[in-house]
Amino acid sequence: MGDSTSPSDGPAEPRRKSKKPKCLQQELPACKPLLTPMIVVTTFALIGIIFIPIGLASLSASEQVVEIVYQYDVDCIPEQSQNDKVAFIQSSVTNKTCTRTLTVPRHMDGPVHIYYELDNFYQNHRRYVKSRSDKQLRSKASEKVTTNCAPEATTSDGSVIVPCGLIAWSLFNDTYSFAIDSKTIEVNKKNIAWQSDKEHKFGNDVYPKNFQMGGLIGGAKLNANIPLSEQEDLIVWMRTAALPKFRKLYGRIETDLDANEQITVTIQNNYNTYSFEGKKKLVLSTTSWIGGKNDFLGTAYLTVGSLCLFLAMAFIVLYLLKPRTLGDPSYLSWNRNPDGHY
Amino acid sequence: MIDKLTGAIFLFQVVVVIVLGFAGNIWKDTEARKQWYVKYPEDGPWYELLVIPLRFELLCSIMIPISIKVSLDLVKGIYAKFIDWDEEMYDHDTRTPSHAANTAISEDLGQVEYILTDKTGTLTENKMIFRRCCINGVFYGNESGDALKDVELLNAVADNVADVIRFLTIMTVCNTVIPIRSKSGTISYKAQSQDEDALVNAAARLHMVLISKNGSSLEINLNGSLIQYEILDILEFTSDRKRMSVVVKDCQDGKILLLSKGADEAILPCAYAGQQIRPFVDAVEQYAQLGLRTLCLGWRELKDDEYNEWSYAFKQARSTLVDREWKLAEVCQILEHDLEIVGVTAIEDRLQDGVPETIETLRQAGINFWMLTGDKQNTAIQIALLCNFISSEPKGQLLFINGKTEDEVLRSLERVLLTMRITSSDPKDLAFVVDGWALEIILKQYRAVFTELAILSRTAICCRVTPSQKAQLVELLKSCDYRTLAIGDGGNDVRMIQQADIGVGISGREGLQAARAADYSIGKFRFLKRLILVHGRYSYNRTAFLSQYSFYKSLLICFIQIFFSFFSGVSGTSLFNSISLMAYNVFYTSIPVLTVVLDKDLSEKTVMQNPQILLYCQAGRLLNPSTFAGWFGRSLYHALVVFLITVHAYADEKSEMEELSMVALSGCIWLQAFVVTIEMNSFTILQHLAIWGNFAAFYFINSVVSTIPSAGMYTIMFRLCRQPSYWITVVLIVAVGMGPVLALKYFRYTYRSSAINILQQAERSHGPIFSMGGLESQLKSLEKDVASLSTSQSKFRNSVYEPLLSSASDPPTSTRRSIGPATFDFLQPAQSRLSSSYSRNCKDN
Repeated sequence: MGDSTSPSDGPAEPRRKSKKPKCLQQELPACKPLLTPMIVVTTFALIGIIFIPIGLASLSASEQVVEIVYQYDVDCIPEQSQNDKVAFIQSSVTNKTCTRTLTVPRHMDGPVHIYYELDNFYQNHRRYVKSRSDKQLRSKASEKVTTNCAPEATTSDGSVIVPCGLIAWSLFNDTYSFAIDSKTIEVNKKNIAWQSDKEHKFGNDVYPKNFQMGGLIGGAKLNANIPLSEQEDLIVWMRTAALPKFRKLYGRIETDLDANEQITVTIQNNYNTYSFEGKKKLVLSTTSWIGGKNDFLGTAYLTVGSLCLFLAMAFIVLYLLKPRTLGDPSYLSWNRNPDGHY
Repeated sequence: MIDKLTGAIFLFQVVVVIVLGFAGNIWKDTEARKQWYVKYPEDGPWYELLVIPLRFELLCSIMIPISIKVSLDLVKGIYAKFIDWDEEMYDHDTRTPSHAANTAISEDLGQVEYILTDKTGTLTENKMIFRRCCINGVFYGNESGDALKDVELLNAVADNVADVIRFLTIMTVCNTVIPIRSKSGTISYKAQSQDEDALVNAAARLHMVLISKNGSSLEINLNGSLIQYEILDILEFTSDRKRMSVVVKDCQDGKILLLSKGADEAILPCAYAGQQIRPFVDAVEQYAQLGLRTLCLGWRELKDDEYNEWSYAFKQARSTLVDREWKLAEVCQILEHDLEIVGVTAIEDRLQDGVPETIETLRQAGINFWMLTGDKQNTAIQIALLCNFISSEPKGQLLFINGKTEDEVLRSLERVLLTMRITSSDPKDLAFVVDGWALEIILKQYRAVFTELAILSRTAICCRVTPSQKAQLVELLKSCDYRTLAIGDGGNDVRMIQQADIGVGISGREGLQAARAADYSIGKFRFLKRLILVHGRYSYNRTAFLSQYSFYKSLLICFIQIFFSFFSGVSGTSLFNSISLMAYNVFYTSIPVLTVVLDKDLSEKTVMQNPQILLYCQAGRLLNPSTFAGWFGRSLYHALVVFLITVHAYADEKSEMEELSMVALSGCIWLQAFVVTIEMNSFTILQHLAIWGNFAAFYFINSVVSTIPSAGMYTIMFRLCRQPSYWITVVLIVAVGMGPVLALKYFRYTYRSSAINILQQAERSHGPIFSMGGLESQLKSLEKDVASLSTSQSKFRNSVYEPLLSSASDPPTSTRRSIGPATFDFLQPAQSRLSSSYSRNCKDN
């Protein structure tokens, strides 16, 4: 972009033959770009011109995503238990089934992803995020490796828990089922976890053992006859989220959903988010090339793009109003004040 | 400076740790206990309180970059090697390269404020050569510059012109030189004084050869004929008398002669009443202006009885025990009068090549020069005048501090200080001259007053100082927090060299003692210019950038960790895994910035032509708390940008820990590459390789790690690279992070440009063949155009368009000066003005 490529040191006079390489004489030819108004304005204008279309594309991709979000944590508590939600959720006798109807706002192309969203849930808490044993998860041979798993490493009688650790122990255990006009929609719970995790992180010879046997039951129980590599809900859960608000894939509805269809959702509201006032949401969403519904990138690109265009204009205006010859020695302070001192 | 900043950052780190530790504990007690899945035990032991602060201490420990030590050492080693390798500083006469013995202080070279220099051998070549003479009003050697080749003089010698022969006789006889005849018959001379050596040698070239000196008899070969003298008495040279005389008896005709030579002010007053001394005064003046060391020669015939009478007194004086020196001087005085002045010799102690230019340049660069010499005052002043040591402006003035007693010295000192203070013009144009005796008293008694004077004065000449006094002066300046550089060549400079912040030794004729003791050894004084302006300045700039950048990148990652802690229950979770953190610090962010050793903000030529730019280094403009605050702010801003964009772009279903951390890390890598790019001034192939190669390396390394199943980030990199949103996010981070930086930089560059920026613009926009000469001719043509307009307008423009290289002395209202010649004027007229003002001062004292 108009960079003047010049030898670093004008070899005006013929030097004696240099025995040493130029690099050692600090004389490698160098390109010395100059922040001329031309370059800067062009850069900003270019950024603007490139960013705005990307922003529009991202925004429209995000717009195309159809999303149904239903917060059910408060909704699914019966009227009489509203004052003591924790007791309700911890009781083993209460009926926690909760049926609601959702309306599809726009046509949703299959597969429709089903997410559960938790808020104010710190999967990234240091005590929590470390509380797992990757070795134990990977192979049966390392079953006894429960480092970091405390306080969910062993049962009270000292036998190891598989999978150990707080993360597995607190596995999310709400379940959803869907029906349209009393006709059940199948939820595909296969392949909701990363393929790489199933193949290499969770062993197919590792079976749950002593899981949720302690006095305090955290979350879901696991079928002891299915190897961990098949326990996809667990695998998804164990991909810890970096932020306290996160969504995890629950399953997929492979069929399309038409606009204005009434979906009946039956929620087993088991998971205790009430002690820490966490929110629980059920999310049905399609995807696009950019992912789920997220306006942030598009908006940011549009903002940055237009700011850059504005800056480019501003610099042009500034340049026209206050032209300055670049490299005018009269601007040198020692040429202005004769003492050469500031 | 770096140490102070490290201290500040350490304090900051402690504060962060304490604050976050507190917050963490509070959060734990209020919130985390409700988070049942975290299973905090109800009450732990007391040290539980320390766990969270210690975790934050671990997270923040990277805030002070450890890599900075390694990088700086490495880079400084390279600076030193650049000095060793520099062919421009290779002395071809003695075949010695420059050498940096101390690798740690290259950047201090760029911040030198005071240079204390030895004279003989450092500024001069320490080779005395007889150049000119004036015999009875006739100047020899004025055309050719070498009297020995002056045909008229040679003819005069051949014709036995009485005055000339007398002149040569005095040159040959009036000294303490001892001729040594070697076996092959050639005669060499052994002299204590280089001047006498030069005189005798010159006389020998003029066919008046001193052959032998045995006891009191002395033989001279003049044009083949032998002349014998008998030395009767030697009236020795003392620094007070400033002259010496010899009483000899001509063996041919038995006449007794008094032959004298000495400084003009010591000899000329002794001329006989009728003699016109005006020509000699003129000659001395003229030679002094050329920087030649002058001696006046005179003689007188003594009557036998006069001599006998004096001889008796002289012997008595010699044998007195009390006050002998004083008495001897008095006796000598009796004899040394009514001399017939024969002529003036002019001896050159050649300045080394480029000394005046070097000093002029370095003085423009704002460096103050002190000359510390064992030589006598007048010689020192002459050399000082000659090599631009003393400001060549008419207002430049020498102030003498002298005196024998404490009272006198104090009075003199205070007078000088007062003059310095009240001078309405820039007081730094004054120079003071002090001799060893007065200095001894001052350093003992009036240190405080002298320190004030030292701060006020840009230039000082200290003559007749001892090596330990030299060291004391260095210490005095250091105690005022000035960065001092001492340069010398001989063993007597070693103490000063070791005392100074930076010692430079000249590997010269007086051996290698000084060079060995010094941090830097160079072959010639003129290399000092390059050493300071090029190597010192570049080193300073590079170190300033490198160290601040090191803090920047550490702070960047640290701030992200801190922000993340607000999203992770202030529990001290690390967003990045340990491999990434380590690689970030020692690899991704260290390699590209190391190429800063090749960065040049301005070409060497521009720096040499605009030495004033060094003021930036001296004032520490590139590394000070406020520039550091800029970098601090930048890292805070960039951390915010990286973190917020990552967190928003990778929200909800994408907020997987490993992915998010890799996105944030990529953001940091991209940003830092662009930061290096925007801060780098010149790009050689190596810089391109390092910066963009580092990118490739980042993706390569992470891809490799992503193939290891047991690694935490297994497949992460591949997954990310397939997501368009990853690339979009990273580009967004770069744009948002660098946009304001670029805009601000551009704005400052164009509308609030520093001198460096202006010179960069000048240098680069004028293309590769840019030179100040070209600029000057442009200005000249511009001036011509303007001159055709009204004069008042041209005056106005003249005041604005000062030449880039002017010595910037005359106020703009003074007579209009033409830009071209004035710049290249070798200050001849100015110097004469100065020397006259100096001689006026001389007389006042």
